[in-house]
Amino acid sequence: MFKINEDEKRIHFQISSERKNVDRIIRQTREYLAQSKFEVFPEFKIVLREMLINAIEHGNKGDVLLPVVCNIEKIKDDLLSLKVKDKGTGFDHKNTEITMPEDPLTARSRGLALIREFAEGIKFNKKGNEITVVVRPEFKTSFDIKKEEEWHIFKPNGDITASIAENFRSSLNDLIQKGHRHYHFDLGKVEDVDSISLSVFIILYKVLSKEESPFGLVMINVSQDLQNLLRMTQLDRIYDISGS
Amino acid sequence: MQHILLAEYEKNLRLSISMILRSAGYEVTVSANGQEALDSMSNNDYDLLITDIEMPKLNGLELIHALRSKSYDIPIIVMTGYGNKDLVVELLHMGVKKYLDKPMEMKNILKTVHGVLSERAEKQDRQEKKKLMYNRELERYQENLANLEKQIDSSVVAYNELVFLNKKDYQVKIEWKNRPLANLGGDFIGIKDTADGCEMLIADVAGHDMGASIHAVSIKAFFEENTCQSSSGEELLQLLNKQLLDGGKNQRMVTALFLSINLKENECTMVSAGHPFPVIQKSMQSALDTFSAPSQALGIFEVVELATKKIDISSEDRLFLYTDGLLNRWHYDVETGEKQKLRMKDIEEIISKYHQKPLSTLVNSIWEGELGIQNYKQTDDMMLVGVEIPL
Repeated sequence: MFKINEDEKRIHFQISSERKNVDRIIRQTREYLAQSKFEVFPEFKIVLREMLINAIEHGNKGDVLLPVVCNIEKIKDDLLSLKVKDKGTGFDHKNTEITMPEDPLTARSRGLALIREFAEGIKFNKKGNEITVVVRPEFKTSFDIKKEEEWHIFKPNGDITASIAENFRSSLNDLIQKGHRHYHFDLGKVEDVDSISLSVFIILYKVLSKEESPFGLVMINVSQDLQNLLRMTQLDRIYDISGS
Repeated sequence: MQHILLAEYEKNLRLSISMILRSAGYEVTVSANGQEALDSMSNNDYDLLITDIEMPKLNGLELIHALRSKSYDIPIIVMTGYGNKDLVVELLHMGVKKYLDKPMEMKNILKTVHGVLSERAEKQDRQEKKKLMYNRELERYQENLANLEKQIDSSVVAYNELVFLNKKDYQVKIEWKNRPLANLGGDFIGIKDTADGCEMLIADVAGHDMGASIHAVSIKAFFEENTCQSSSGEELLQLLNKQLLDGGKNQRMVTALFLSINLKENECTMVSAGHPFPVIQKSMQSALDTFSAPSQALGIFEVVELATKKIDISSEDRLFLYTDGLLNRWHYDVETGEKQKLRMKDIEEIISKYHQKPLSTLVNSIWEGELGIQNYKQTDDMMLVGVEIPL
């Protein structure tokens, strides 16, 4: 059995507990999302597949006649909500190990660990036979660098964390090598700066302050949370910081 | 011995060609039309098909179509007669490369057959060699990976042994939780009993990779060598700072909090280098004390600006030390899609709620339950240490 119901907001499936329906759901969803120019990303496929397989094999115990219901909805530009419900008696999700189990035979917990790894939010219903998950394509922050007179203006389009810290550091390094000493950071789109990235800001100051010639370090559009962080680490003493 | 399938309608031709091929040492199966040949293909493995075009039931063209659609990858020689030449173009499209013109000479047949079969053998040989090469490379990668895994495993064991606290052995009660983001992490906790009480150091090395854990290890060594001496917390952290700076190129920012508990004087001195101060629960009450004072992290500046706080302590007071990984967690609400971040007040609410419970229950409740990592996604190494002043 394979039933589809769709409108502009969501696509809804009701299927019999057969594994072949899993790939079909993923295919149909991909087509549906493509209509609104939403590209399917690996995290989505991995998570949805695990959720459906869990429902079919563990929730419904492989009984082909029992249905599985699946709902996929775009709740934000880059956020998909996936909901899967089976007819089983539920599953004690609270007491399950959340990391990959040593024994690969504990398939159910491995599936759940996989879902947890890639999902940005998970919720079970009380009974434990319905799981709702939020997934998001991996976002890698990039930064725009512009030059205005002696200032280099950096504008990252997202959080500055370990994954881009190296790029960030080497871009700054290149500019410093060329003798540039005035840096302006527009952090309007930045919610989080992790410790590695914070180090990059501090080390920038260190390198510039080693020489006698004047330099400038400015941060604008800094959120309140970020300002608190900068104050705690005393970066507000070495950067000229202003809020949004 | 190579096995050839011959599809030819004309009986005499069928006989003579098969005799020629057999005398040259090939095994031959004959069929009188395309359908017989097709049926035969599914029952046997052939190395070559020689087929005529004009045949009843299924002609040569239809036979070849059928074979290709069933993905048979057999080399084919087509026997073309007068009037078939225009078919050559179509046959070319289907991958037939060799033709024998009727009427054909015996030596032509053998030469063509031999040519096609040896070309096929060479191709298979090349593919085998490629496969072997890939397999060898794959084995090498697998070996390297296994070696790396062994190294990581032994580093993980070493790291865990270094960071492990035996919680029963101290003059204060300790409950401790630690979870690095990967197998190794950059958070450190050290505690030592002193004559009057104990000294503790909690540290957070920037990042959560192997480099961070290397630093954590050197902080452990520092802690073993330098505590329980007459130097103050401030002097200790400045010394640690210097050691970190002397590390040369591998500079990392480290936040650290040093605690000295004096059970005789009922005092606790805390010195922070960019690290959050602990949350204090006075003697089983639900109200909590928190402080914050700006200070600089270690490992960057020559002389660090520290923040010091001295408080009075009494029996059953509790201090909750942590690294910021405990709080830097979030999830997206599945209904609204809003990003929910963990706040300090979420932790404080839990402590207030369970304030009368034993220390271990309290630490577990902060670490798991609603605030556990199944609800809030971990982004950094996290550590929580509960300290209870004895009666």
